[in-house]
Amino acid sequence: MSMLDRKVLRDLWGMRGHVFTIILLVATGVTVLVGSVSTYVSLLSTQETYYRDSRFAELWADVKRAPRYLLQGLSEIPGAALVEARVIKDVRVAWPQSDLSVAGRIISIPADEQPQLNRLHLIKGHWIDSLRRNDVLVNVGFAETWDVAPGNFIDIIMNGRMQTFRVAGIAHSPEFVYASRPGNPLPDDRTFVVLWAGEGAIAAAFDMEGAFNNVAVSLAPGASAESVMSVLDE
Amino acid sequence: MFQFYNLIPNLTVRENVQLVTEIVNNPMRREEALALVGLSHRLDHFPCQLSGGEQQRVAVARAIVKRPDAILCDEPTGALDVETGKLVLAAITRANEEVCATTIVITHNTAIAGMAHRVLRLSEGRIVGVEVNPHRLSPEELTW
Repeated sequence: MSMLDRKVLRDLWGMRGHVFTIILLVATGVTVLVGSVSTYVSLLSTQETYYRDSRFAELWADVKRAPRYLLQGLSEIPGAALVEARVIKDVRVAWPQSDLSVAGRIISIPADEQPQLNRLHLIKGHWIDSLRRNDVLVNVGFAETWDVAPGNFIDIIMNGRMQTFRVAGIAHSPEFVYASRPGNPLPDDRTFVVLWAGEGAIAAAFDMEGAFNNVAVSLAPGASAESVMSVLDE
Repeated sequence: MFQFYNLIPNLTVRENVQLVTEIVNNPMRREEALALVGLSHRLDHFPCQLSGGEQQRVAVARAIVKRPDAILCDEPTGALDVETGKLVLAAITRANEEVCATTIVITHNTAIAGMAHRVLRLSEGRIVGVEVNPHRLSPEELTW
């Protein structure tokens, strides 16, 4: 060992308290950094997996009322992989437990099966029954806030008429990781509820039979969102 | 050599001398250099355990262990009392004779000129006088 190396070792030993503290500090910093980075990577991976497994759509378009036969044309747009038409309407919910008025958004889903895009995760209960027109799924945030359980009933004012629906299940949607009422950026599970019901019930109430007012689109691998959007707009 | 020794405080006498042997070819044995300055009995002491004169003698040993052609001593006795200064000057004299290195001692102490072969007097950066000592004194004979 050279004398300079020996000198350095003795210097370090002479200030071993400081050296130990610095090592501890650096080790803590590295641990925090590694922990933070791995948590971040893990969250990104979980997010990606969740949206992929849920078949989260990449594009949405709203129209006032479009006949269903247009759907064939939409599905032929170059770059569009899956196209799903839905009826989405803002409604009011009669919810006596709440002092404030409760707003809702009701979305049509196929009876007896998951939609092709934006698949729901059923937390409790079962899927809506095609034989029961008044079955509805309620988003998990509202259900947990108000202790809503499958089998409960919920009164929804649709197009000025109140209809009573039976809660078939509690669900979570990739579209509503947190649910906020239109115009309010903050999540509000006390006064906003997302509902999924069969298309027949919604269409009948809003005069949307044979029509849709929202379309969700997923892109083919490598497709450009801009080009699909421009064709969709046309 | 410096007025204030400049030894490395956490290396022993032996290690301080060894340090410079690592950067030269064909150095003297460190124990031999330390024996020349009369410090064979203090090899494993740290600088803080030595007197000022002993520390300066370690510095002399550190200078000669490289077998240099010239040794430049900057006020080597400036921080020492008379008796200790004489010991250091004796060590420098012995090193000069044994190693045959040209030794230049810079000092404000004119008494030290008595032991030199040749004395150059400087004033404002210029040599103003050169004397050759016909009869050199030994360090023990010097007084100031």
